[in-house]
Formats: sequence, C-alpha cells, structure tokens
Amino acid sequence: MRWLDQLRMRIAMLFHRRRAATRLDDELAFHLEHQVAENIAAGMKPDEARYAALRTFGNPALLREQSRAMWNWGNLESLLRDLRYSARTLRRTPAFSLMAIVVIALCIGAATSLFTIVRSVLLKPLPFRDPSQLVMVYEHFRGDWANQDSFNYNVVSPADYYDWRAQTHGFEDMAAWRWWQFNLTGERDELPEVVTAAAGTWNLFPLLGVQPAFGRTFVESEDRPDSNVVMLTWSVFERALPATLPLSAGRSILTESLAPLSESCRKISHIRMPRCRYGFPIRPSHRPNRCGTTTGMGATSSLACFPA
Amino acid sequence: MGKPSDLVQGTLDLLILKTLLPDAMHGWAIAKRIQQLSGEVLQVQQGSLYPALHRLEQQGWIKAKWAESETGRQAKFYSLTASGRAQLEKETASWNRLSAAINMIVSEA
Repeated sequence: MRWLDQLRMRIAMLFHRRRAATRLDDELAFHLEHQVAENIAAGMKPDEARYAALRTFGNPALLREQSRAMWNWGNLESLLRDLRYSARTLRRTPAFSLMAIVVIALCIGAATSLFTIVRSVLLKPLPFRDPSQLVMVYEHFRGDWANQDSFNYNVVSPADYYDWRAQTHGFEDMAAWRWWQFNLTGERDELPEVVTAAAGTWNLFPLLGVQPAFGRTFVESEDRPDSNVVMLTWSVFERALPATLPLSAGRSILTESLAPLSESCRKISHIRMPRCRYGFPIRPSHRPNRCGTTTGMGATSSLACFPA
Repeated sequence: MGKPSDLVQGTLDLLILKTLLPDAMHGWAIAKRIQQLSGEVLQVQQGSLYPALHRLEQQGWIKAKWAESETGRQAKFYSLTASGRAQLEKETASWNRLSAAINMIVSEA
C-alpha cells in the first residue's frame, strides 16, 4: 500500500536523517563523476571538465534542499526551530516571561475549573435513560398567598399521583419517590446505624432505566404498605453485609441475619444493588411515624415522569 | 531545464517512468538514456532530475536500491513498481490527449 510505504519512509527519515543525507550526497557525487568523465572524454582538460560539470550541476545546496523537501518533515522542523528561538527569547527577559506565564496559567486554571463545575452540574446528562425526556411534576398551593415563596412546588399526595398516572395522556409513565430513613442493624451485634434511604413506586427504576448490579428491581405486587422489600446501594452493601457473602439475591440466610429494624418491622427478602448514585434534588419531606414500607406512599415529594 | 514549470515537471515524470520500464538504472543512466532516446533534444539537468526521482519514489511509483554500478562504485538504482506501471499508462494516455489537442490548435493556423 502506498500510504504505508510513504509512512514508513517518513518515519525512517525521522530517525535516519544523517544516513539519508550522506546517501543523497553519494548519489549526487556519483552523477557528478560521470559528468566529469564524459567531459574529459569529450576532450576537456580535467579541471575544466570539473568546472563544466559543476556548472551543469546547478546549485548543490538547492538540490539537496529540494530532495530533502520530499522527506516531508519540513513543517515539523521549522516548528522545532521556532520553539527553540522562542525559548531563547523568553530566557533573555525572565521577569516578563514569568509574569506572562503566571497570568496565562491563572486564566487557564480559572477557566478550566469553572468549566468543570459547569459541566458536572449543568451539562453532564443524568445517568438515566433518555434524561432529556425526564420531568418532575409537583403540586402547587391553591391560594396566591401561599405561592409567594419563590419555590412553591409542593409534595404530591398519593391519591393525586394515582389519579394522574391513570388519567394522563401526556406522560409515558409516572413514578413517585420520597426520602426515607432506616435503622440498619448489623448481624453480629453491631450498633444500629441510621441510613438515609429513599422510597419509590415499583416502576421507578424501570422508568429511569436503571439496572441493578445484580438482583432485581421491585415488582408491582410489592408496592403495598406492608411490603418488606428493599434495594441496597452499593456502599451499604459493601459496608453492612459480610464481604464473604456470595453475591446472590434472595438468600434466606440473609433474612435471619439482619435483625429486625427498629423503626419498622421488615425483613430483607431480596437483595438488589442499584449501582447508580443519583443525588435527588433536596426537598425535605415529612417522614411517617408509622411502619411504612419501602415502597410505601407517604406524602410524595415529587414525581419523575416521562413525556410520551 | 532550469526551474521546472508544471508542464515540464509532469512530462519529466512521464519520461522517467518510461525510461525505467525496460530495466532498473541509476540517475546518471536515466539522464543519458533520455538524452539518447530524444535525439539529444532533451537534456535533463541534475537539478530537476533528482528532485523528480525522489518525488516519484515518495509517491511509490519507483523504488530504489543501492547496488554496485558498472564502474564499481555504489549507486542508487531505481526501478518501476506495479503502481508505477499503471501510472505510466495513465500519464501516457493523458499526454497523448494533451499533445493531440495542442497539435490540433497549432496546426490549424
């Protein structure tokens, strides 16, 4: 392939300039000798022959330049020369160059950090399926007096959510979620710890397109007040469960090992690990002081929906 | 031929490729052969020959090899590649077309 040969030659020219240059000189000298010999054979004297040959030869330096231009690293070489020259110039005035470098570094650093923040906060898409189609639906307060506050997005009552979900035409699906909190007890008499949790409807994860690392998400039959099914985040899983536990879901041994949680009586019957870590927008919701379920519908604080 | 114009450069490539068709030869022999075959009309100078040879080599139409010449010295022998042969045919065809067109115009006067 031609381009392959060309590439090979260019790379060879990168490393074997001197050898190529001497070979070029050899070639030209060979030609010159033959020209001189011919001139002598035509009857000239030796030095005359040589002069005549050199005259027809043209400018050897130009010749070499032209041949070397074929080697095609000229741009790179001139770039290197320019860089060396600029380095010398900067070294001559160190104060100025130092100032310039500091200013440029500050500007670049500021711009980079700003853009990093902007990107991670604003520009990076949510780790869900089709995040541009995701909307949050809220309730408003009725009266104008209550809507004075700049943030008048209220929690959604469960009945409203069910009605909306059943009757909507504009949304592909609706799911609800809220903040929660549990006391998680260890299996070896460890002190219980409070873990922040969230609760959602059974279709929350399928709607968001989030797959658990293993196990399954909720099913519809578990979406009732006395359900005792949880999904664990990876950090909780790594921390609270024994590391030697083989990674499988639904083991009965796990059910007994986790002592009943104090705030609510539930058993872990399935283990699922959602891998995604999404920071839900912070909106405090009041927690139930009854025995709710993981998928219980207390006052939901917001909805996540897909437009159709 | 001092500084090659576009037309001359193209035809020099054609001449070199045609000259290398029978067998491989070094730069001096190419110049001599062109001079002979054209009846001493075309005399290729080194200044245009060697850049042309290197250009052709870079484009992959000829390939070079260092070997011993007839005088015993080492010389760079050029030979035609397969793509060079194809290029030769193409350039011959275009040259024929071009010269026929110029002939038509010039001989009508």
